[in-house]
Amino acid sequence: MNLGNGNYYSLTQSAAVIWESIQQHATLEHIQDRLHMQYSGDTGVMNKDLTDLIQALEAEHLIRCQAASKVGSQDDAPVAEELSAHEREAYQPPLFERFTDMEDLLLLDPVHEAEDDKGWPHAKGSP
Amino acid sequence: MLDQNHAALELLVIDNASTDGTAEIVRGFSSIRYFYLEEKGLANALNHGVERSQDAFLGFLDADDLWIQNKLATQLERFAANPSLDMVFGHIEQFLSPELEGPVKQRLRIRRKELPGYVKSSMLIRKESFWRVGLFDKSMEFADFIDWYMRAQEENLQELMLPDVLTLRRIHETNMGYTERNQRIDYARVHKRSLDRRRRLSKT
Repeated sequence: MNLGNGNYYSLTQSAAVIWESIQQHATLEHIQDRLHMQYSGDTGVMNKDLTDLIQALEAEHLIRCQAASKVGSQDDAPVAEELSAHEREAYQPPLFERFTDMEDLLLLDPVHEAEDDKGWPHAKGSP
Repeated sequence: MLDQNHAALELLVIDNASTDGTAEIVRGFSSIRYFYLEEKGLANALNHGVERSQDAFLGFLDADDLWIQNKLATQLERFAANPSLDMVFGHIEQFLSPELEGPVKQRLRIRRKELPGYVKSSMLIRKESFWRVGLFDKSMEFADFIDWYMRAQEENLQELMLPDVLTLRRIHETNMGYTERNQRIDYARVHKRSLDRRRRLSKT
């Protein structure tokens, strides 16, 4: 949900896996590896889909990308176990949907005091 | 509410363990049916009123907001003109509660004074339409109406948003939405549940 503009979003299929990795501050390479390990299919297509999704998420101000050296989280992110070829599921492209039908309700509250550069959930005045 | 220029009004007051002398005040009005609830919770109180009301239309007014004098009359006119309508909303005008001063007043920002009132206080709904959606979800502490409205949309209830200001919304320090950061968790839950319902529907 983006309480700044009243949009909400749905991430399904491999987009759910990608979002999970993003929450763990994984690097782009790390997410690519994870997709290649989890799914069977054309890795070139997976990489392209991933880049497109990242761009879409960034365009909606849901994430911000940083240089990997600044994040330094690659070591912390859990490494998925490599599945043997027959254990992998068939690749399903990431599905990212945006909904605007609740905008009028979500923007009603005088609660949205988030600082512009931080966004939710860093409410103004909170540490 | 008593100022409404629509005469026939069934009025229920649900006192959710308030400490501001509500019972004393209500006692002075013989037309009001008064209920006292020990069990706390906004959705619970709303449901209590819905279940006990007998009129064909339902309107809600939270303790801190105000209705414009012709709210009900204006909305009932639209229902009479269009029998297929399920619910009618109006715009709301937000105002800073007059007792506010100093830093609190500085902190509360009203981004837009007047805006479409997708809130309970502005809605008038046919009771039979309300029951198609069902009661407010008691597990929602803050997003009771957002949850209810999403379910109403899923039921394809026909709505009308009037451009007239029909409700005055008081902004003060204790607006539930303002004080409770947890409401955001409720909001997210509500949207997730709605998405899940729609995904299930699209699969069948």
